[in-house]
Amino acid sequence: MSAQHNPFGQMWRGSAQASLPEPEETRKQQSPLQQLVSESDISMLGPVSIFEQNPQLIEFYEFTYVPLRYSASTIPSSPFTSGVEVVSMIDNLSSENEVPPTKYAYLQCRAIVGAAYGLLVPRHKTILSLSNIPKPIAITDDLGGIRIAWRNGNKTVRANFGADENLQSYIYFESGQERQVRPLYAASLSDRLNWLITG
Amino acid sequence: MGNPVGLRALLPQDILLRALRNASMRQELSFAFMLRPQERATGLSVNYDMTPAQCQAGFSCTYGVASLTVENVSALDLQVIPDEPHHANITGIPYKEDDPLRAETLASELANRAALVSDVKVKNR
Repeated sequence: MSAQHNPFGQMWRGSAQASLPEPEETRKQQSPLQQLVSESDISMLGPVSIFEQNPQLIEFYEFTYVPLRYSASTIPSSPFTSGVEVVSMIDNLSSENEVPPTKYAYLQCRAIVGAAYGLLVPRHKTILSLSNIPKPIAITDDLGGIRIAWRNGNKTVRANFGADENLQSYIYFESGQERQVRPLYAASLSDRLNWLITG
Repeated sequence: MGNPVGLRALLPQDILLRALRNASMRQELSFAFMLRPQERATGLSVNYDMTPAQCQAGFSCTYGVASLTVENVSALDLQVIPDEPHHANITGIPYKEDDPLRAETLASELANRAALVSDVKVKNR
């Protein structure tokens, strides 16, 4: 599937279409999440190139899209807190680390983590599940890759985003003596975050 | 493996110090026990026979110090090889590009055995 065939493709490319006023009837039929999406600044989404390079991400975003940045007025006491915090944390990596993340690692990280959090919404049928995800810790490595760790009790999930496409990106997870590494995609990260917050 | 001439043999109870290069490492110690690219050939760099403050004095900017004993390291089938009077390398840890599962597992195991002995930010230059 190409970006051109993405029903939300117009939204990724700019805010013009997104800013058009919607009929009141349409707004009434929207869920709180849909309203939140339509009220958010779509222009703050990552560049289109990340989707063109990773067509599988488009499929995730088609039905799991969550806005990557909100205004305080939009969500005064939103259960998306952890989702907002993780995106903010990724954005702040440059100022908080000796080695800033590479553009490649940053775009991959933001797209995959954002989509992974979004995938949890339909799975739990409620956006409240996002607030159950423990606040992660993030860091850059010496090459500008990004590492993020989530902990919940004796369970750990760590995502490693390689600094460039030639370096490994993977998910590591552990619980007791169970330790595994898996390829890092939005779906696999979402699956591990779901595992982290469920029994 | 013998130690270089002039260096004492390390004992199981000897304390090894690992400086934390990032504030996030205080909360997630496993980050501190991943091999850096420049350590790929030599092993994980640690200090011994010094205080946490002395350890931090050797770096431009650190955010704390983690400690663990030689015995802790040996229990994981890793070796501690001193190469200078106050410096040693923990060998046997793979770089994450070479073996991510073992690199991550050992980072967790070392973090579980380590203690945060300083959470002070020290900037020397």
